Amino acid sequence: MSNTVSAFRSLVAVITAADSGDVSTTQNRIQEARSSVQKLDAKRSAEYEALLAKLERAVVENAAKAAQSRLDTLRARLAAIKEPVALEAVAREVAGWTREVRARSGSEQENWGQLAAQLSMLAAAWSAASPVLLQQDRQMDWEAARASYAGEVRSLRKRIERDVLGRTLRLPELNNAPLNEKPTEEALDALSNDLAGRSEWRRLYQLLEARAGLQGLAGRIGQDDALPALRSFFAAQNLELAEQWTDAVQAYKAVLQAVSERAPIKAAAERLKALTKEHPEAFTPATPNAVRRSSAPELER
Amino acid sequence: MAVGLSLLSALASCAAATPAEQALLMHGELLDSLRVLFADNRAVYEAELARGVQEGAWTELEKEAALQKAQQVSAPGMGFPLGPRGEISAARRPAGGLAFGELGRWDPWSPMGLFEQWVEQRLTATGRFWSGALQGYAYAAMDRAEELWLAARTAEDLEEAALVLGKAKGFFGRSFDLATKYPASSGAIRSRPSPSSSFTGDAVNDLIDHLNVIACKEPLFLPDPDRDPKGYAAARITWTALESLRHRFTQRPAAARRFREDETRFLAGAARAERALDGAILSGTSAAEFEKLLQSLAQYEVPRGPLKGFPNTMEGVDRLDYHSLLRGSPRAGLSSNSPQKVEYYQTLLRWLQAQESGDEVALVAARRGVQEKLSRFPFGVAQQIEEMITRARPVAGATPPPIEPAAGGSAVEALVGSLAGIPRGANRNTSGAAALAAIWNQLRQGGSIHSLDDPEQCAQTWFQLAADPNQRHLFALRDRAAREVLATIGGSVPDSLEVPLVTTLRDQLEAAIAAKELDRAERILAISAAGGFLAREEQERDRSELQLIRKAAQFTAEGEAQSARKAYKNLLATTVSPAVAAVAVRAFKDTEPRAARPVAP
Repeated sequence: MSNTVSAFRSLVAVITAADSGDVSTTQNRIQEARSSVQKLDAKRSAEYEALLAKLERAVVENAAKAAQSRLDTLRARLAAIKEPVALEAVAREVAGWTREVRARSGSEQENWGQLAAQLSMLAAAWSAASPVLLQQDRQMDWEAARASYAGEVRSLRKRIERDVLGRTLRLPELNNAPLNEKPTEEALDALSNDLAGRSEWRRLYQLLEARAGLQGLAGRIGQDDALPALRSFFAAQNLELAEQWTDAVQAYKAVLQAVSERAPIKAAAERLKALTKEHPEAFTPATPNAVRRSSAPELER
Repeated sequence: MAVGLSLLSALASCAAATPAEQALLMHGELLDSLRVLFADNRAVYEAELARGVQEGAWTELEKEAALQKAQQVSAPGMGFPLGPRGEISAARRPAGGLAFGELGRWDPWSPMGLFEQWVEQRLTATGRFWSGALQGYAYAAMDRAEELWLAARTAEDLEEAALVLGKAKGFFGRSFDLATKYPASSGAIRSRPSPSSSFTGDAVNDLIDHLNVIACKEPLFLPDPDRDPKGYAAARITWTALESLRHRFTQRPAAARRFREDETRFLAGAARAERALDGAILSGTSAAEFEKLLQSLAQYEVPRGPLKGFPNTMEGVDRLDYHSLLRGSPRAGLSSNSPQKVEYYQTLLRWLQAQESGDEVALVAARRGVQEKLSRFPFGVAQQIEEMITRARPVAGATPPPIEPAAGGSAVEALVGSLAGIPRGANRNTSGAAALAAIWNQLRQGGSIHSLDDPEQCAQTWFQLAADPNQRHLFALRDRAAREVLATIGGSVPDSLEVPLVTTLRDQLEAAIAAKELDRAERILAISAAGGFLAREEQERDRSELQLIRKAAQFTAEGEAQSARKAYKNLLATTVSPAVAAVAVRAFKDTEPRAARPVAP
């Protein structure tokens, strides 16, 4: 009698848990119910066991459907995020999923913990307009590149990059027409070319340096030589101001070696022409140090 | 006969009383009768001795010695021992037929010695009789007191029990005093005094332990655990403490049984209150409803603070220092099986209240508190709570309000407090958060970049904090704190939060260098390092440029113009900062030897 009551109670507990929608609890209750049911007579035990197996299948299928539905919803939400607050909310929600996955012994494949951390990092970078945090996120992005939501996160990241660069480098044109209609990378390229065309070397340098930082190692490997050329150009200007004509000439010559279309080659060539007239003595040989300094400044530190 | 009549009348008068009450009355009557009997004996005894002198059985000296002996060994309140008339005379003629006084006065087996022996025997016999009656009365009194205690639910209910025990104490008289006035020892737990005379037996010690729980200023009783769980919660601590000390009252079967029954009801009540709270958590609840349920559980909480002790006014009992006895281990032993979960539920209540008020700052603090206590909740409930606190946002609006330090307070102070308060496990580097708190504290006190032990570690800690969705509020607080410190070191800080801090810092740094305010520039870099604002390479570059400017200035001051020029030229060839370049150009020109200076075309 007591076995029957116990089995009945455990079955009720299974149904209650299934109604609550908590997969983990339901699976635990099913295991408990199996133990209770086994104590009944053979016929009843078999009947209940079949019922429990059916219930378990349904729970697992529902969980899989729910997981897929959640993933779809997540993608849609990531695509629709327009501000840091919305991203923070998603990060918090995903952080809750982390614990659910653990409770279900990893029945879902996605690493929600990592995604929550990445979204949180992106939200912090976005709201604080912090390029440093975006750089850090780049490392996490590499790790999450193969996740099923990777495309949405990448797209989100690009949007954040555009906003952060626009605010920190004072580049409002990035978020205004016509650049705001272009994808981030394309807009940044167009803006870089535009700044080079307008000879706004300082702003160009800041933008290229910030982009290099955000792109991480891969970005640095693939970047053109505009940045070192700009550094040489600034060094040459400094040395010219200090009336160190010979060193200035060497630094301008280093700029001319660049192949990037954004490098200030034309400006450097013009300064060299002027210096040829004004300070011909600066074109005598020697002072290789100045060249080396300007092309590899880190060696001097 | 008188004794028998008294007993009969006593029994008749209490036909309707309880068995314990009847037994007490009977023993009381017996003791009273014995006291009367023994009091009369003195006169009879003296008369018998006088008659022996008249008959020449013994001398006047022997009579006085006998009286003195009886006086010395007689039990208090017992009077003089005496059997039926003629026994004293018989004592002169011992069993061996030897006449009293025949063996001489100084022989130990002399008639005088035999007489003393007789006196001793009589005293012992009557003493045992008295002792038996006294013990009987004492135990009857204790039984009756226990009977009253079992029915007592208030201190007033114990007044009669106290009277009964007090009367028993009075019968013991001097022996009770001797037992309780045992010399005090220095230790917290003393040896229980042994009975002071042979006839009091163990009854005195039993009586002491009954008196000190019942007949005292704050008598111990067990309130109804269902009606007064709070009162019972306090009493059960005392009871358990006494029980662990093997206090004799707690070892009485009926009293112990009563405690176990009440304890079962108490724990069941606590479990019910707890289940109600767990149920409310699982089904979702409002803060007000939860608070009401929590008040029910609070009734079962083990009271805090020092335990109430036992009487310190009653003669004798104060020497048994129960205050000392109750400190320490007996109470600590309770915590494991006592309902002490109110504190854990209170943290959740605070979270619910913060959630309903929409106060983001309070919500973050409350969430932290709940996370710390999460492991104390049952597994399923803990899961539910974790889900609640993770997913929830303030009801007041989807956008959390900006975090403000307390009115008139400092953002740096708030940041230091928040960082220092990050619980263990909240992120992977709790010690990093503590180190950050210390660094911001240094900044507030005017510290410079040189005082930062490891700026790189600061950035790492901020990265870890950024990856934790629960620590997001710290970044807004960090930016406010940075603005606050920036404002204290001069320069204009934009009011608008729209300008990113990293931009403001860079502008301020350029301005400070351009104005040759190198100390201020270093402090700006310190703020940047403490907040992880600038990238590592940028930070390092700025730092080394500042050092180079300082070094060059030092060369100039020391008259080493060539070294200074070399340093400035190095700066000019490497810096991308217009401010650094301007300073270096100016200084480079200033250090130029006049004779060598070329003439401008």
